[in-house]
Amino acid sequence: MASSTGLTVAGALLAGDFRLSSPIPRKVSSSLSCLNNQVLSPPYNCCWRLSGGKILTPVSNSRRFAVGKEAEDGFLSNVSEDSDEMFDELFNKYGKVVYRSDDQKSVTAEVDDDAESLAFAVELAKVASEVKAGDIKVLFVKPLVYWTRFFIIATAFSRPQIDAIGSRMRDLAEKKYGRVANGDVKPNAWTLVDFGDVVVHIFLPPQRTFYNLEDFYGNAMSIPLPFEDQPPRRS
Amino acid sequence: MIQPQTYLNVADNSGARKLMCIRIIGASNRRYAHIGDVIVAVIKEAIPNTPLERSEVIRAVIVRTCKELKRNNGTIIRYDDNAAVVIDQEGNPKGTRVFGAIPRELRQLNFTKIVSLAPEVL
Amino acid sequence: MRLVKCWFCSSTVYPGHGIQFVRNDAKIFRFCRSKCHKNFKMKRNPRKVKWTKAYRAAHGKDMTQDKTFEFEKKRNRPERYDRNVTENTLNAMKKIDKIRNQREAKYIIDRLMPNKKKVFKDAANELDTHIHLVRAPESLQQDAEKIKVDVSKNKSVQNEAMEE
Repeated sequence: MASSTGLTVAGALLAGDFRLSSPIPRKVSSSLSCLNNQVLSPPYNCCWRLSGGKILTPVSNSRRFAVGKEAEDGFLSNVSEDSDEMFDELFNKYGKVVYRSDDQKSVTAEVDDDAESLAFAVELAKVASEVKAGDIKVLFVKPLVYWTRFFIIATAFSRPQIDAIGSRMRDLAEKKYGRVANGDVKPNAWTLVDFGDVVVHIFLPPQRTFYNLEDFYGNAMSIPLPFEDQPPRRS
Repeated sequence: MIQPQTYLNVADNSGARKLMCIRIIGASNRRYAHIGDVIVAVIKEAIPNTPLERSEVIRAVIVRTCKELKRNNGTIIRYDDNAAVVIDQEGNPKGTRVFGAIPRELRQLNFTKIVSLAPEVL
Repeated sequence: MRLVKCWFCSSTVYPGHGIQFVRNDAKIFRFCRSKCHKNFKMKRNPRKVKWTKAYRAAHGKDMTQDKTFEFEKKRNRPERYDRNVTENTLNAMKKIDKIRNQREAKYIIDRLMPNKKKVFKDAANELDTHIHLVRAPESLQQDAEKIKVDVSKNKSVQNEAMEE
């Protein structure tokens, strides 16, 4: 009984520590759940095993925690010694101030996260290529700016073509995805169509070199487009 | 709070340095312009050998004001200076890069081009 | 909703309160109220203004180094939501808060203790040296005599008892 109460205390503090310091959240929750269910099953990878092993120690000498827990007020009255040790222990184990957590996903994983907008962006790019826009690029700019996820940059060679691309994109977005675009309605030397998480830039060739957006967002990941390989094969 | 005769800094690399507001676009007797408003301005100071010259009349969008900007969620933002970005009649920026922090309200006001050229959006 | 700390006084800025100032290099200064904002505009240094947290920390008035502060630190990545973790965190936060408050109070008491002792000592000293200002020296002497008498009586009583 005493050990179980000790466990809950340790668990609560551990979890608190974890959420705030955010080092290895997966591990925490797993170790926590296994603690709570009292199932200390052999973990199936080495990092888990480590955590399991460490977690066991407070169980075995949970006396101190249990003593602290037995009376809440008692636990708080000898605040300075008992809990400090506890904090120390927690920090030694997990509490380093981590500025980069281990579970940082790769860029591609984050792209998967934004699968819906990615699909939308690729579809829009396809529309642009159907209307013979040149040099289409889809950039994943979410890590760089917070206000949107994807940029589509395309070159058109005349104003009627810009108009065609813009109106086609708007039609597709409205019919298939139910989205309404902001931005330029009339064809412009730099026409911008803003769908929220996808922003489409259509340039005339001189403007494209003038503003040089790709260079400005040079750190963004360029997403490979499915139709890029096809034209060379045909020709 | 930009009114005619107000001097503004230029927050892009178009070549102008200082602007003076001479008219606020939007209504016939409009007193003040705020962030996201278009003004007519005179270039008071320009970098030599650039397409823009002194005493040229241009349009500009206000991107920063010393007067506080209130957001719907209750936050209030104040900037260091009054600054504007030079645009042409179609709404394209004359410069290729924007400097300094830019509020995100500009995007809602259909100046996404300026936002996409800015290094920092708040 | 995000709670941030006031740049000047380090108190918490709740949503919809205070004002943000954005310098031209895009550094954001957040203020909890106009008092802090005005002090900033007067170019005061928060380390030199007595009512700010920065002053108190810099001059050893408040506890600055403690394990309980480690929990409340800015981390670079937001955590993914997990109901269990959140629940446990909320419980732990209360506990940590309680502990921190107690420690802070204890720190201040400990800090003030030497002075308090000194004040007591000085008072006792003054009482010794200047008691004649309050009571006439004669009455004091009388007191002493009385005590002497008492003692002698006591002694005699004791002696009698001993004799008995």
